[in-house]
Amino acid sequence: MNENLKRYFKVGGLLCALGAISALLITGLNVFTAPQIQANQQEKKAVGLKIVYSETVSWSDDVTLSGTYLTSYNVCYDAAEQEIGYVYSATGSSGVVKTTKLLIGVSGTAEAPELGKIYFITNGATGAYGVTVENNYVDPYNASPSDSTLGEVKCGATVAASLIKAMVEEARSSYVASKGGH
Amino acid sequence: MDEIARKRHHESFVAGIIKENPLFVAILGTCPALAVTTTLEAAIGMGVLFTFVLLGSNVLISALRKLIPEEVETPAYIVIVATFVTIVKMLCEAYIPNLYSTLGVFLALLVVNCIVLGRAEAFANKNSVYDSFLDGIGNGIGYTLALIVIALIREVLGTGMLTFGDIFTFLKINGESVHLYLLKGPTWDYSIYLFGTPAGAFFVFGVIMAVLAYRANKKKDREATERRARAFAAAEAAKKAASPSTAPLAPKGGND
Amino acid sequence: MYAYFVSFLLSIVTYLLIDNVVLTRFYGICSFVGVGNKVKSAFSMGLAVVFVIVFATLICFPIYYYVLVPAGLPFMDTVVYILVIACLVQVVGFFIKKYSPALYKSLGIYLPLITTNCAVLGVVTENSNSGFDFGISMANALGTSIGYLLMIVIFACIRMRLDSYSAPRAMKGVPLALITAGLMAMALMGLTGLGV
Repeated sequence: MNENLKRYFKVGGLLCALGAISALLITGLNVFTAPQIQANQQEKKAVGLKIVYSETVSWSDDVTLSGTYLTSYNVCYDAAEQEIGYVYSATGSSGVVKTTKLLIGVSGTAEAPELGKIYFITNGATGAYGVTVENNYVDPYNASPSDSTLGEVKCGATVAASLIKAMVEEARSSYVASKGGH
Repeated sequence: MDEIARKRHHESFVAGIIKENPLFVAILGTCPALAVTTTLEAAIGMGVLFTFVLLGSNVLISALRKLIPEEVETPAYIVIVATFVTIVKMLCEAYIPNLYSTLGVFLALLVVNCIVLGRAEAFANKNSVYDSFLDGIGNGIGYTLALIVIALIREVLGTGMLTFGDIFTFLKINGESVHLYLLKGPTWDYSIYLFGTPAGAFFVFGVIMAVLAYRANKKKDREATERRARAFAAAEAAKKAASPSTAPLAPKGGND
Repeated sequence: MYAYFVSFLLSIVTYLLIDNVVLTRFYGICSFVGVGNKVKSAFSMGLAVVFVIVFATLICFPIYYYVLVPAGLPFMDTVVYILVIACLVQVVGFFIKKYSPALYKSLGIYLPLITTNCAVLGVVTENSNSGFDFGISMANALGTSIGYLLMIVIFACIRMRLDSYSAPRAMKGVPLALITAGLMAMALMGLTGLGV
């Protein structure tokens, strides 16, 4: 029994040592790569901000929000330091559609908010649905952002389109609330 | 002794590339081969990352082969391979983010790639570190070449052009990806969309396997014929040696 | 509640047919091509895969969301998942051996091979990467595994018929099987028009 026990300890100890070394290695590497990953995401966001509002020259830092989909927003300024609008970052998934990250632009006043373009950071609809939701829903909306183009969710990728619509409407109500409306 | 050892090293290196190609001969690791070969760049990226993982796990398992007892081989190898895959995944996400988002889940699936685990159990735990290193490089190059072949066919036939720069952004010229138009022109388009879809992947892979089987069959037939001819010549020579005065066989039809 | 249930059912249909595990997502092809033409062993292997995938998801989902993420270690998921799956396959094998030795013998070498089946690790990794909640993760698991069972049985039946016909010598065996799989994938392509 003593012999067996010693063997069990040796084998178990070896496995635990292996696991501990691997955990240490990976955690150590994470310390190096996490900032780089953050920088990549900020770069992608910068590209997106310029696409949503094309006159953007500078923008504020992230202002965190709490909501079903909204995570934060940035205020975009043009070359003359005038505010163009708010760009909301939204994250969410619904049913078969995986995590979708959007940038949504809203500008205007509290009484008459104007919807801006949508930019995909990550399109959660996979395969043919991803292409369908982009061609049949998002592109017509981006051509003329308004409530009528927002409402046509039956486009061949209804789940994805409904998710995007819900995100845009939440962004708009958050904008109205932050500008002092109701 | 040195000559024999060097020949053995050389053989174990070359075998992984052509003769025992892990994808086309042993039919292992087919899941990424069909999924990431829609574009040439993704295939090259996957092949390179696979080679890193295979090298790392082969070398480490070979270095530790005296320490790991028999019973815990499988979990230990799994932990080692998973660690390497996680390291490669994190480095890829940080420094080549486009490749990371194209490969998606298949980067994590390198853990259960049959080639990595198969080479670990069949080769790395019995041979020295240098042999395992060569074997890893050989198999990695072979797998990458196989992926490139499939991806070339699928991308050229499926989209009509080769695109460089989407994933390896240092290849971009003036900030735009380079397109090499082959089956496509400004007004005409002879690409076959089917090859970009999953069905096309199966077709391409099946046809490549059929072509390789055809060549292997021809070689087998030729060798069988040669062997039979040699056996016949040997039998003839033995008969002539046994009775040297026998006349050569005359055609039998003369008597009728 | 009703909308969630409908979404759950639609997800199962999506992962079963439209985004089929073997023919569209390309998981589990090694065993798919290697199953040969024996329908009975294909069916038992499919059943074993169903068990393993469902239980693996049941175990790995809480581990990810209640152990790894709060501890700030989401990057350890690959190592933890594959260890869980390896243990699970051993346990499943042990139970099958105890309660149905005939099934165990018919599975043969395929049971430990389920550990390296891309479908199991693929489903579990997809669930945590895509941020699905528990219901949709289970829908993914059920749809994927039942889709795998369906496709593997159909494929074994087709190959059983194919083997009795004379094919060109170079195409016998694996090449013909792959082209058959390609035709099956083409049939499923027609389902992507479902406006789900």
